[in-house]
Amino acid sequence: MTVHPHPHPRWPHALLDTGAHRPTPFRQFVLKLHSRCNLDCAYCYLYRGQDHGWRDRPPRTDPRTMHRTAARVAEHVRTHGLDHIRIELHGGEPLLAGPAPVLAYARAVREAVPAHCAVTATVQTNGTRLTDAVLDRLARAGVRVGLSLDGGRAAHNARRVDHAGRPAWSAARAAALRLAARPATYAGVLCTIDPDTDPLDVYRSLRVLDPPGVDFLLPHANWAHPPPGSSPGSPGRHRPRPTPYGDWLAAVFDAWWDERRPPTRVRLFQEIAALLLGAPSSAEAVGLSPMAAVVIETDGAIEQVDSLRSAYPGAAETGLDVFRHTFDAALRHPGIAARQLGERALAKECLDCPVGKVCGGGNYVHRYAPGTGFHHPSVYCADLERLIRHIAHRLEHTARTTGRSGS
Amino acid sequence: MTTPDDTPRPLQEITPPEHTDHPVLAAVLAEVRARNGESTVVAHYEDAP
Repeated sequence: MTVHPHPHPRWPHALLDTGAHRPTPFRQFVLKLHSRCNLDCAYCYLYRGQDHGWRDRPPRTDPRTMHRTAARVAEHVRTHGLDHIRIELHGGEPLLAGPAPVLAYARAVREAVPAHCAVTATVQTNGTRLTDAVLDRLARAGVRVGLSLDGGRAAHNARRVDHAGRPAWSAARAAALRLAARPATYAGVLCTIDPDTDPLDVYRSLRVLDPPGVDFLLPHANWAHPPPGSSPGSPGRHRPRPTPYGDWLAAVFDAWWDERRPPTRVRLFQEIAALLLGAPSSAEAVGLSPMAAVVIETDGAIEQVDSLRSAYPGAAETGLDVFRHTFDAALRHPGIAARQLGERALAKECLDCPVGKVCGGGNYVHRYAPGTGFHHPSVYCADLERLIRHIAHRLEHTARTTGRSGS
Repeated sequence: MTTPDDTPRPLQEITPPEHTDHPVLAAVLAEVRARNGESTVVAHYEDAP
């Protein structure tokens, strides 16, 4: 296991009493199959970021680790009486070694958990290895497929290239077309936002590919490493502030909201609208629901989500592994516990903010500042407020003018 | 580029209607109803669809 000299920040690691709250069991297990990727995307926080821990991991998960992980997942399911879990087959690029390891991992978990527990299995891929034959095997095994794309045209995907600089788009497009013909297996598209692109062009080009769902992801950033075009600064709720990401997303929201047919689900928008109507969130980007995901690395290490690596080297590590520790032990780790605290994890500025309960401080990863940790507003604070107020305005008008009571 | 001002303004109250002809709002309302029936709603990892 890698030991990093970088100290964890005081919050939550030194200040949080993890015995003082009731943990929420994990319901989503991110299973790393392959710790390498055949692409070299310009914005990748994992392979181009500051945490090089992936170099020390075995490239592939071996059968012993797979079965030990499956046994630990089953133990967690039994301990907490869970009737449904999700497993995400992840990488690197999880299909680099073909579909067999994906199918073996999914089968190991499904065979290990009690019969009453449903397992939704999804592989998240860049699409470059998703041939018809691979897709057939995944579909037959009931493994859904999620695709990473930055838009529906070659120009949108210019940052997604292989290690020789060759564009990945043609292979990814072919994968998108294959998936569109297999809606039962198609889980959706994840699209990282580039504010230099035309938001409507990106949205409409993705709609043409007919995914059942899309999510637009903010590039991982924090107060020390701010989004492109911004300067590092002290954490806080700074106003006035330019909101390029909020503007980009608001433009896409309008196109989505004004669809005259049942729309593709756009996770971020649907979550914000649900929060504005009083429901809890089911995504980590917004809201105050407890985060219920955990990662198992190719060597069996139990970790927090990969995106934390964008904060500082070693940020995702827990020091636990499936050979020696239960997932209940991971629930008491300060980094994991901090993400299950709801409002108690928010900075004062967020508690005082009128959109704080909807925003929920944004993605935990985006709150980081060196030394003081994660007890801050998001570096995307102004963008999130811009988007939330925009959605609230459109939602209120639509509810008032088209809504009716009774049957 | 827009720059929200620095005066915190409260969000408007939005009452969810029981029915709507708006296709996107209808999809949102269906999800809200399903979610309100769940005992525990958890947040999922962003890098999975």
